Amino acid sequence: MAIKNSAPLLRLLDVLLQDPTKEYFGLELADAAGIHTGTIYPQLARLEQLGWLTSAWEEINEREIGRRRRRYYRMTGEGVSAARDQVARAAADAERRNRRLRPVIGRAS
Amino acid sequence: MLPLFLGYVAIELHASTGILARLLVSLAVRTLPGRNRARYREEWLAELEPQSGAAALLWAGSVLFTAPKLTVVLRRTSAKAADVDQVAKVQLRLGADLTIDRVVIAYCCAPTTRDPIVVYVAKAGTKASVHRRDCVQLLLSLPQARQYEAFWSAHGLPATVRLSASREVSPLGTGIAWLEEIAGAFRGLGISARLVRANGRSNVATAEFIVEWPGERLIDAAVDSLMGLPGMRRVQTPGRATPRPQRPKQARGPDPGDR
Repeated sequence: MAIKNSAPLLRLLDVLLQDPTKEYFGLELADAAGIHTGTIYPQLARLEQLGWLTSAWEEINEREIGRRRRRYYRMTGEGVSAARDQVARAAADAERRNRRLRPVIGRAS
Repeated sequence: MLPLFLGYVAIELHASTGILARLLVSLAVRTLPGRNRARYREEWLAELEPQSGAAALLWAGSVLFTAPKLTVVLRRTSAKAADVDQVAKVQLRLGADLTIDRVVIAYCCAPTTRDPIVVYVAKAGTKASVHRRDCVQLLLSLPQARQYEAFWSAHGLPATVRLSASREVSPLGTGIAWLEEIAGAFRGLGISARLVRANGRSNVATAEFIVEWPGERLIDAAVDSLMGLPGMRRVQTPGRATPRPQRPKQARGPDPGDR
């Protein structure tokens, strides 16, 4: 299933695809993707809705560690292949647009 | 005197940014649907914790700013969750005398497959809901006698599958007959299916169904059976697509001029 491409989404997918097995918490992902922090949560919720991501609470003893537990996000198998397709399609679209806009040098008739 | 006062104000402001940021997060959480508030409050406060000063304030402000957008996504998610029942993902260990017709994922805590879960049976023989073991509603307001230990199944099969079918419609108006043909094909295989949406565009009608998961073989049989219906162009289930069939070449009838 494809979703509408946007620059923040593609940056987010790019980060997630660098190591699909890695788990990230929201702020970490936002920093890595260079996305303005608040905007990442609708994107993450959307990807979760599509089944591209799963999320789970960190299993820690909050008193021992001295901080609240975080929600970690990880790509699903389905998400990895779908995200790769999405990124590839976006790259192909960008290439097509660039080709269309390339100036042609020649003599004016 | 003035620089001293301004310095004092700056220090006070810096000290109160944490409180202000938490206030903004609370306001953002209030705009979310009720069942999602606890999760995002906890998630956002955990992410606010390592931040301080203006960065924390900016982050909390941006969260508040995008909360309405998140609300839209979450409302869409819950509508979809209602469509796709996750019965087969839950393995119930209930008494042999207890049968459950339908299991739903509780909206109050929305457990994921990695959360430890408990099933609350509202009424034997009808509906049960899956809660996280640490669900506040479960702990505080639901009778413990009706709570049962449950586990996610290892295979995690989906309970339902989306199946979409499309065909050329010519002339327009044959759509209902076509849907009846599809329903007949499902009935013939003993598969329970529910029509989610049907639409027509450029003489192509598309119908989408939610099918209770009957097993891989029956889904294959259903796809084959639907592909056998006249005029069917494509039948799809998530993750796979059936190729468009080759149309049999029609034998040409006798030339009218031969008569």
